[in-house]
Amino acid sequence: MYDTFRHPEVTDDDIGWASTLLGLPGDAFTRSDGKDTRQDVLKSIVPMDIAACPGSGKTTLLVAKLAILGKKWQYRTRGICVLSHTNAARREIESRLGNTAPGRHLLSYPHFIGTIQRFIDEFLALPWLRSQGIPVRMVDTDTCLRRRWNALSRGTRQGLESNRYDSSVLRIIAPDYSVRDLRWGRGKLGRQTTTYRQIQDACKDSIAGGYLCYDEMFVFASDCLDKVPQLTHILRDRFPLLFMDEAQDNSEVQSALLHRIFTAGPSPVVRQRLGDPNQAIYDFLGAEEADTDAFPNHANKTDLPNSHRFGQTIANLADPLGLDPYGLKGHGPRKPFGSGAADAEHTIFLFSDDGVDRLLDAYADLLADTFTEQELREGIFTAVGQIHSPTGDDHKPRHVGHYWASYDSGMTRADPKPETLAGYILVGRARAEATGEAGAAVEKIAEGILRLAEMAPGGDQATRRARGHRQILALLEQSSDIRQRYEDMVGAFALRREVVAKETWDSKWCAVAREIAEAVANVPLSRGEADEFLRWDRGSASAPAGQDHKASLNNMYRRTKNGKMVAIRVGSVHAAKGETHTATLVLETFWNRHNLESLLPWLNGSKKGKPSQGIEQPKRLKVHYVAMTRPTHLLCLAIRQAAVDNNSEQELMDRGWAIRRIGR
Amino acid sequence: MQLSNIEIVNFRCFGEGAKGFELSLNPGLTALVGENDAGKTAVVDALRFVLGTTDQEWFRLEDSDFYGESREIRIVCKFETLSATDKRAFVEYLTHGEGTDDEPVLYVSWTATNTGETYRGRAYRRVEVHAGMKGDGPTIAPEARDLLRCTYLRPLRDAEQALSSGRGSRLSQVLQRTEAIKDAGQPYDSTGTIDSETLSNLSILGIGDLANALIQKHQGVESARGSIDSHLGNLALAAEGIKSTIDVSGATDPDGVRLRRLLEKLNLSLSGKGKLGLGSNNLLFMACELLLLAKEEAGSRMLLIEEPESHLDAQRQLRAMAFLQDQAKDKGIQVIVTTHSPNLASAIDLNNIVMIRKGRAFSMAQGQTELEPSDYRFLQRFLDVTKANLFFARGVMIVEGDAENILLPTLAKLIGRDFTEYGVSIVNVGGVGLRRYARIFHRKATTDGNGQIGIPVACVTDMDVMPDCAPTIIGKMKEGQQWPPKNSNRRWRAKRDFTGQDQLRDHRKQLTSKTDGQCVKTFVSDEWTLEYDLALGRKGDDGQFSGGLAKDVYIAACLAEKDEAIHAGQEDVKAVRQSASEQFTLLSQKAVAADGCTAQEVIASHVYAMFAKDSVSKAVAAQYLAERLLKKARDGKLTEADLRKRLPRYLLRAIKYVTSAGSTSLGSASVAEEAKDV
Repeated sequence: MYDTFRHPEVTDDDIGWASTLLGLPGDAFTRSDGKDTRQDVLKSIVPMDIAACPGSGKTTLLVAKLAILGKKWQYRTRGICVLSHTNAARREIESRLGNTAPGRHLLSYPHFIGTIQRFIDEFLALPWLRSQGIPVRMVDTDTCLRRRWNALSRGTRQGLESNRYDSSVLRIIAPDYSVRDLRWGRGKLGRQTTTYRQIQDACKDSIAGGYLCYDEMFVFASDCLDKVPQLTHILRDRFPLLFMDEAQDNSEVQSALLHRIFTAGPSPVVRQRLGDPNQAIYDFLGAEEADTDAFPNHANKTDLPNSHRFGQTIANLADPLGLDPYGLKGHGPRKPFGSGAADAEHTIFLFSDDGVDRLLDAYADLLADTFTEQELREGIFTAVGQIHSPTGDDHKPRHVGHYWASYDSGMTRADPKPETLAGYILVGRARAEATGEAGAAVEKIAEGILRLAEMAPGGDQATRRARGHRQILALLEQSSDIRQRYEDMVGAFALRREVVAKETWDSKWCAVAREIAEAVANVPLSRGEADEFLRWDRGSASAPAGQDHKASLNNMYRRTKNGKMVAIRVGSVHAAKGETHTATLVLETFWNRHNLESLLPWLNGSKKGKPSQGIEQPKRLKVHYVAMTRPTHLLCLAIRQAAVDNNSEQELMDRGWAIRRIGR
Repeated sequence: MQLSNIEIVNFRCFGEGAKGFELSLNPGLTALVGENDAGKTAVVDALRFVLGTTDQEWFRLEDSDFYGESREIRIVCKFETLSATDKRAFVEYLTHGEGTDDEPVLYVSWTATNTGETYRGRAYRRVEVHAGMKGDGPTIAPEARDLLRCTYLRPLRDAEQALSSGRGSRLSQVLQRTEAIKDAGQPYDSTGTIDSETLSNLSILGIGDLANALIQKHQGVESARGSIDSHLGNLALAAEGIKSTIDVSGATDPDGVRLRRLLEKLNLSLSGKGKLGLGSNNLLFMACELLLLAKEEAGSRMLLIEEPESHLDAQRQLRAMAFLQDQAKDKGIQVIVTTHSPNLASAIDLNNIVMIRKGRAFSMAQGQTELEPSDYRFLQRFLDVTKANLFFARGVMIVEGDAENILLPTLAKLIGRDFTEYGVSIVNVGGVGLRRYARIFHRKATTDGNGQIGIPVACVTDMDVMPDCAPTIIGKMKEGQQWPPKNSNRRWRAKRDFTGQDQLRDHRKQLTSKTDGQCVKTFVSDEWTLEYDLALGRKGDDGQFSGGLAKDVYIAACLAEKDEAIHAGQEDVKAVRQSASEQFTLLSQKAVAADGCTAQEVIASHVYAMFAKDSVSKAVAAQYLAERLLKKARDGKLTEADLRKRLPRYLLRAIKYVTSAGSTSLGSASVAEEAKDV
């Protein structure tokens, strides 16, 4: 009786209930022409792939569906599994359902809502490694590779470097601890050589010590499935319903493993995947695109082509960049322009080499002209580029930083990982200011100290816990004077928010932090890496709490025009994925070629969809499709003047773009 | 899923390392037996902390729960034989085996750390529950821990209250989980009409809702409301349009709450009887709990009962135990009981008994003891309530007959080692199976002293080799008859059958080697039998025997012979005693050394000859002898020192050994020492 699973039925009443719960109008999912496919999607609990266009309300749809299922869920030992690549889905549920009973229920046992990585770790790799007596202390590729690199002999490091390898080769590809084949001089690095053995040992020791790279968790997860054949059955039994968000971003490794767990062979689970194949931009990071069980499966595909984000103009401009253009339909935006305008002037800024620094100002001015004061206050205005980390200074503008020297690429992540301790203090403060809770600042300082402690060679490695501050206090329990100094430091930066000058940092805090970290690690820190981490950082902990400083805290570019204040969030396209902006400026950046330049034929409408060959262009298309489908009201591009001759300028204008020139 | 192992470190009487506690459990029922303060309750409380209990009772950790000065308590439970439901429920917490066919197991590791911090003026203790053999797994989610909750029945519980109506009654909880109550029937539809058919189809909740509606619409209520309204009018408030309403409280609460309130109105009692006694209520209560547990979908399905014997008469105890054992087996429920009742213990399969002694667990399950499978069958038949005493003793004396059973406690008392004071149980095996009982205390594969039970167990047995003068005296041989060959069919042996002291010593060794080992020591009579040795007394340095209690034994034997006649009033005790005394004097005067035996041996043989007669019961004689010795001691005619001198050595040693642990502070190490000493 208990062992048969019967999924809950979703009724019209449930859909109405969910709409109300989410603060949406009662007909939220039945609007448009009355026969909204979203209603069918809500009701059907069968295997299904949903291809959803930008702004189609896919996340809201998923949240509504989960709310209904959560409310009706009867099982204590079975749950719904919701997988994604980021914690966005989880955060969405937390923020929209977190204070409702079904929401709280969904966010805890027996359900799982989180990233694929966390799922693989929690349900397969970690139990498996634990069963073999390997205590996993940290899963983090960066930390791991650094430790392994440091464990190599000087000779091996030099050998790798002279063969143009770096620490990224120091990871295993199979549970027998073998690493990938390495080209060595003119031949191949033999498996019997000391160098190969040393590389292998560095990996082995690090894993035995509990330090693993993210992809190694997949290796062990897969090993676990080999050795515990009943596990797929157990997991399918536990999670009879599976939802996958952003399914287009699955890598081959992820897709193959998830397929094996949930759907391969007899009695698959009911799986519904949501995503937009046109927005698959994370394969850009180097992983192989999914081939196994690829998304979408055309046999059970449902399209959601209606965007409720933007109007038809933006839809038309962005549609050709879709790899498989499905004729975007713009049903938005929900709010008309405050000025009463029917549409904004979607603008291409053509800038000269000396006009680069003025670009953000020009964009700000356009925003000030287009939007009312209230809209400027409430809206989200962004400038995004495909490349945002500093990669070099040739081929300007190469990355986002070339438009704004103060831009800090480390700060844009949801969980920023600054390069200096001062940066940690800063991020912590910004958070504390945003949330009004000093705890955020305390935690960030603790995180910075722990990271510093990890740089100690071969020291006692502290397992990072959620509560770093408590952990440090516990570790320093025996040395009360150092504990006191740590508390002073936290007090100064997190609670009193002291303003510190470079001199005080260098003369006092630098040494204090070093001392604390050494006590935590239980060995002296070396120079080099630690020194770099402790260096005085521009606009860091000491900076006066002025407007300008604050602005740079979270990469907000601010400008006042005609008494109107404009704030532009600057960042990367990848970070903006899934977001809705009021206005978006897509910045020209450089990846082998200047990106927007090479997309001109798609921008002027002469080309459409995936080119017949090449792998670079499709990736570029997808990233810019994502960028161009963010805004509700205004879409802008920035392209070098040199790339656009009079002829192409005319073509762009014919296509509907307004042109503004900056510099000469 | 079955709890197969529990490990307790630094909790109450359990320390760390060798002083830690570990117990392997069988499926089904396990009974923790043992004397007070041995740690039975600590085991149960440890389980309550790790698993939590279904009554959701908050159980506070105290400073005194930490062993000595330790700062971290660790309790680890291992669960095996997980069902499909268990596996899916705990999949993220499982520990996998090495082989592909190995079934996963679940470890639940509970730690409480005394961090030295304080929180709101109280000592703060960090409590964490993790998965993984070393507690290195993730924290187990509270919802998953709920699945582990066990049902706990406290000792001397108030079953009557638990079964009666009222807030949170157990009965209501049982009923709430019953499908037929929860799901059957239709809800009350306030807009529809009520006819007899809809009425009979109403669910329990529906009936409650209908009643609420009827009460609200009742004309009495209505008219009361009307008069309230008119009062309101008189108070000139009516102008403000205020009208009263009368509601049934809670009528709009969620379904679950309303159903619970209805069910809490129910009482459970037995028809045809008035108020039930505590005992019957207790039985009823246990039945309820089992019903609840059997409905559990997943998790530990465990019932912890402390002292189920409370309020139950001996017969009911046996019935309850049998019931629990059966249910545990049939329904896959694990039951752990603690008990002080030998009666209860005697009803439990020996395999399911775990002795808790001085903070250590000694499972009696097959494989843990030296007992053979046939021993288990034998003991299952014969381990009755008196013998089951051995599980609760500080010392155990195993004897072969009634005479020892009666005499030894008296002798011990008279030499200042009162068995009751020293917590010694005497087990009378009645001639058979002495070795089997002794083997209960033999642990399998213990090389270090740690695995030993440490209860001094003394087996008292007869040497059964008569002096050479005895066969003719007791009538086994005729005067002058030729000594029968050794391998003939005779069932007696005398010293001359053994060539020299070596063979006698070997014979003695053979007798002890069958039972000796670990804490079990065998005490073989110095010469022949209990009565003979008592009559002969102790051999002095001069090779002469002291004569011991020869006269007393003789008189007791004579009294025993006339026992029936005495009770029938045909004989007078005093007269019998008087004539016996005279006969003894005659007998001892006549006695001369013969057949290589001393005169004392001849006298003692004559005394024993009394017992060789069918007309004398050893038990009855023992009783007369015990009474006689007690009286003499009371009258000051027999001092402790005097008696010690007269008693045979083997009895003195046995009594000393078996009482060696009794003087509370002596540990097992000193037990061994004592044994060496005597």
